[in-house]
Amino acid sequence: MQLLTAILLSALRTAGLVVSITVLVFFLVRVIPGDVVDLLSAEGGLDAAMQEEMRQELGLQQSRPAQLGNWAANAVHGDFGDSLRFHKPVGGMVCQALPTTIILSSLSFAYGLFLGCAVAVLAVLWPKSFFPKAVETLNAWSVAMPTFCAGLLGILVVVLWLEWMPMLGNMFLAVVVLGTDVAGQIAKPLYEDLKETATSKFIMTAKAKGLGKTRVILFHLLPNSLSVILALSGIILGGLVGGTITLEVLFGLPGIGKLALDGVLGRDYPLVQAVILLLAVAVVCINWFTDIIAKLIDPRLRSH
Amino acid sequence: MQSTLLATINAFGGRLFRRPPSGSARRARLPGGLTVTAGIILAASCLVALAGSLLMPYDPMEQMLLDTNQGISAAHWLGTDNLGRDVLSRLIFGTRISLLAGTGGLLFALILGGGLGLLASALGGVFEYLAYGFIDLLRTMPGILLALTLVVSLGSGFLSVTFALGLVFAPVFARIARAVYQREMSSEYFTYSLINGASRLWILRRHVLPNVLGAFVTQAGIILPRCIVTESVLSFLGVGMSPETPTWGRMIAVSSRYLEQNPVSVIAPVLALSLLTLSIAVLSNNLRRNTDVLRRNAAEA
Amino acid sequence: MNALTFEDFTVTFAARNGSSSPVRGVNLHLAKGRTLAIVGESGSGKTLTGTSALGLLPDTARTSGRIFLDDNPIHALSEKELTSLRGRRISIIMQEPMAALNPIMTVGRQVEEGVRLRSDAAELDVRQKLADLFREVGLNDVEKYRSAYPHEMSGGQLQRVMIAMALARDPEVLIADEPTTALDVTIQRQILQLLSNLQRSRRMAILFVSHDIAVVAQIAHDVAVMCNGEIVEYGTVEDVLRRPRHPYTRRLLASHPEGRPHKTLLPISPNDRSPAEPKRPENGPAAIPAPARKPRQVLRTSGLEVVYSKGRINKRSFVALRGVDVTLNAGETLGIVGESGSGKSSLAKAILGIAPVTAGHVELFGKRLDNLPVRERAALRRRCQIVFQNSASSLNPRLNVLQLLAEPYLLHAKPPAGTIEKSAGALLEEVGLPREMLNRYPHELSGGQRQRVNIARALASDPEMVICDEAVSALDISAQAQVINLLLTIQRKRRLAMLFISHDLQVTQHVSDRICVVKDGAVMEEGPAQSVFSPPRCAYTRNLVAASPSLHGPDGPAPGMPAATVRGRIAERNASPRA
Repeated sequence: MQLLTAILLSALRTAGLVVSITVLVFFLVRVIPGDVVDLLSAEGGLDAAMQEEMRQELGLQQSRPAQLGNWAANAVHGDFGDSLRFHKPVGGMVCQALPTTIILSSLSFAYGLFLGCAVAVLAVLWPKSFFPKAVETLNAWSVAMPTFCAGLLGILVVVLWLEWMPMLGNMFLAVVVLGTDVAGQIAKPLYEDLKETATSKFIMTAKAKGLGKTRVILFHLLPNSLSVILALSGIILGGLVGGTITLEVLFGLPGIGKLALDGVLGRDYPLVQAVILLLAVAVVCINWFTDIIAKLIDPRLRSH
Repeated sequence: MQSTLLATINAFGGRLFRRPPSGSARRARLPGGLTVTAGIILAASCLVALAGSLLMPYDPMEQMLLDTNQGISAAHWLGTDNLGRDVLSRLIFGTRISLLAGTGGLLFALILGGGLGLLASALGGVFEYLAYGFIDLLRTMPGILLALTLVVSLGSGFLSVTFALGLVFAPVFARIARAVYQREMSSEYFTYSLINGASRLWILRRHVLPNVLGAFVTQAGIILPRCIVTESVLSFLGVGMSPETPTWGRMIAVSSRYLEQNPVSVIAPVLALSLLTLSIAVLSNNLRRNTDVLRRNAAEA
Repeated sequence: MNALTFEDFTVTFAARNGSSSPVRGVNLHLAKGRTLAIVGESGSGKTLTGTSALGLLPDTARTSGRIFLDDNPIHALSEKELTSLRGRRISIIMQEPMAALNPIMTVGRQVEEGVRLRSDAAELDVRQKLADLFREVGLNDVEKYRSAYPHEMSGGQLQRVMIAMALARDPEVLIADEPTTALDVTIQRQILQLLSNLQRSRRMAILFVSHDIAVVAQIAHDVAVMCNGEIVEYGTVEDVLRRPRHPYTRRLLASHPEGRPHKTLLPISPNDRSPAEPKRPENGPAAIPAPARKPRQVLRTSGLEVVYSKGRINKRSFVALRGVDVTLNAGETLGIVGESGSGKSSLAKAILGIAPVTAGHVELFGKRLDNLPVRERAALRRRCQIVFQNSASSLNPRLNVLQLLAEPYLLHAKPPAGTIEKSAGALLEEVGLPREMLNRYPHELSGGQRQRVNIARALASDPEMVICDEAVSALDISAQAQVINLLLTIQRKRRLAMLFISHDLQVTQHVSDRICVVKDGAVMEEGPAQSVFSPPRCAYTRNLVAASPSLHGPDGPAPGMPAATVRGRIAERNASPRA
């Protein structure tokens, strides 16, 4: 019963967060001087009467709270309105763009997680090999080489000079670039944590028991650093949700990021709102999920 | 959850060092070649940013339409871009923008996040709940997208970019502030002051502030490169500074269309961005290691 | 035949600013079936010596000399060869079993890992063997403990798990590194009992590392006294404890409050070993004068109840104090003795107003606190100060001693700028530290010095009552003796009332006038310090007294024995020192 209230309260807080974000974004995008009609008339030369008519049609002449009310009422029913620019239901557009982003971010995350963890563990296993250097290099790479720069260099070398593959829609290159960045963000902190955990007493106990080095690392050291991997994963995944944007633009991948950028630049209010709502929900879910996994890993968190 | 947070802070390199550098002869590690190189690069960047207009061979905005997309030459050391503007001059101008926007964003994040976090922790109650609700709100929005929306809403320009960067990175400092405050709160000198009738704000100033500053400084060393990168990402996406301002991100974006004809005008700003962020990261890493050494010496003493 | 031999063994750490050798030229022989104790203060190198027998030194350590486990040259073996010896021929149990066990693996699995490494694991019923081991170390409810995680068990139970783990492959040698240090005395006694029973039944050799010479007296056959990395004295327990030869050993023994005349200064310097006339603290009457008139009461609690509740939604409450009545008079020391969780620290917190008092009230200097306005309450509490156990975490590491000592002035008196430094210097001198230490930082001071600074800070607001919450418990024995002497002296000089909270019966008995024994938040027994333990009235106190380790070995006198007998014994001990 008490557990239930706790869960309910955290769900309520989460819902409050998502609602606040929606409201915030709603007003934020409307602070932008000029609306879509201004933008279109600047491009196409609409006269004043046509502009007025268009605003009527799009419901832009209503007061802001009223607009919010309308939007929210429809959103609850799964209708996020029509795009002001593309005249298509936003829901459909988002659904179309979603697979690209999900594939891009999940593949890069999986690749980066694997690479980062592998290098960090190998660096601890063989401190005299080149792996500790590899950890540092990966970390430096992800600090100093933003993904859009790395993507451009990749295009230059792989596409233009070596001519191995085409540029547009090149998911492979995007995944490699993004994943390597993720690996750099994971490898260093994990390596440091592993090194620190390696000095704890229970590792000494495990060694004193007569367990071999590999077994100590895999069964005692790594499980105790899982919480760090998890915390990092949550933060990185949260960042990836919006971070695919530059690569989608660069490689011409029709994903959520590209959609969001178009929406923001084109004052396409319903589009921006829907995308940000979606991403906020995604971040909230990721946080929730990592919390649950943390409890599964660490029995100390479970009992409280 | 608190332990996970501290672990994360630690894991991200923001190790919460506690000891002050002591006057006695605890020698920290001498700077190595890498550190010296990084120091020289950063110093040079700052110099270039300060003395910018003296060093520029051309006006960075001047279009020489007869000399577009030229490669490296004696007249244009780094060539010209698609509108015939001198890349070196633009690069020098961009250095100033990157450093200014980066540090501006960092300072704003530090003041907003750190200040709010500390005050909220000390005051407690409804204020704490609201302040951290706000921080959570910022944290839940995907960073780049939040910055994008903000800059577009507020209009391009230096101030709105700085403001957006500050809001994106403020939660990092707020969380550190909270973690350090809670750690200090469990110490016995905190209890001592409380017993002796000190107010929470008094304790905040006297005991928490000196202990949190170290953590802020180390974290700032990590956030500054990220601020600089984020600024160039915004410019790259076309929403940063006003369109005619030569920033590294904008240079990359414009020249990327002519990547095959004129790779130099892309590689130059990319390299500049990497070198600057890397040198800051190396220096801050070194700073952290040295303070760690001090801490370890202190612990052994 | 020796089970474990150290020959001229040295450990060196190379550092940039020169190398240091925390262990130098150690020669030890541990015979089969015997217990050899290494005793020393913190930083003496005793733990490094112990762990080096398993080849488990940090990577940065360089060693010279030789260690033989039976006839295996530990110093010359590769990591692989060491791994094959660890657990099978030699194992270890450590201080703080909570930290020494993997927090996210059930204790059953952790012990099982050891069992599965046995050479006969294939034909063995692992589950059965595990159950046998658990029963052997006294964890009889095998099924319950098998699936428990370390944080679900108590310190004593965890140490039993550690022992079961160490025994899993029937080693000949067991290293016990401070195995009972963080445990309550009654649990400590059980663990010591268990270790000596196991040793007898298994004919193991035990290398017992400890800082506590009284614990060593309970369990060891031989003792090596270690100081600054060297062994200064080595012999049988009888010889070393009864006829100490090295000045350091004498000092260690003299610093122990057991059997010292009540409320006298403990002899600290090595030459000062047998004062014919026990020293009384100076600057005061020779003994507490019999009160001509009723002494002024500084503290009274009646029916004090403290309940902690956790969680805003899921209220769980914990009763820390249930109706405690104590009184304290000016110039008097009231000792509060109890084991961990007995509520003794909650009492201090309740008096100082930082614990949730749910019933009853505190009376300071004759005024009830609960119906006073806030300002007056604060003014009364100012006359009542506290010294905490953890000398490091009670001083902000970023402030120097002057800034630390200035705090009470800044909060209370607000004197003109120049005078603070003068007053702080005077306070430092009062607690026996040189004025020059004013610009030192806490990490540049030793534990004992830090605790003196804490005392100075408490004295700064000129209190009439000081609460010492385990104030000497974390200190090495010699520093402990010095701080005890300081407290006794200051009390005489300033006629302070003192509430002395401790888990250590002998120390409390030495410094207190009256003693309260607390358990589960209630006072079990109260009486004059010199007679409350002889004989104790309630069963719990009897248990506590019996469990307190004595320098006289397992059959030695309990702390409550009449002082005269003790003095006689000490005289006897000191009468025949070997030259």
